[in-house]
Amino acid sequence: MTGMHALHMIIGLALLTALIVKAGRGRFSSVYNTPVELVGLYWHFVDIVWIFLFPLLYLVGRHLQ
Amino acid sequence: MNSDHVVSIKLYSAIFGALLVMTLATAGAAFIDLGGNLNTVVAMLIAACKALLVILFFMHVRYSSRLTWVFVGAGFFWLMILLSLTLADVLSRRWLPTVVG
Repeated sequence: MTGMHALHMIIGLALLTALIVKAGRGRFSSVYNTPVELVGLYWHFVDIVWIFLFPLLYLVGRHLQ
Repeated sequence: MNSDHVVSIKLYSAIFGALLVMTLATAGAAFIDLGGNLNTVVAMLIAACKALLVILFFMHVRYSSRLTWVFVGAGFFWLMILLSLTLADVLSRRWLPTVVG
């Protein structure tokens, strides 16, 4: 599960890099910004997955050790 | 997208701070023996609160239409079902005595 999450993060980092390059070239405006919105949604989806995975993988049963 | 609302950096920072505090709370609570499966329940409740903050503010759902609310709610509910089914394995492991040999 950690590996799958890492894969999602690598994809996300590639998307974010592309966004930064495009934004630097002034491709987005208040009229056209759908890619920014969509990559943002994807990135926060990856975020939510980790919010649940982190306690499940590393914290469940910790008090027994 | 239909959410033209611009969220202030101040609000984003406040949400980020709240998420950090809740992460520390989850980590701290994991080291205290609350008895039974209560540790897992507390960890998942805090995680659900954090996910709610991310969905409402970072994903702009708070400022979206009611139809978006319904679809996001259905997606979140499905995520909860998947997590519950996964946890059903972990939480029920010690219910029956292990037969050795």
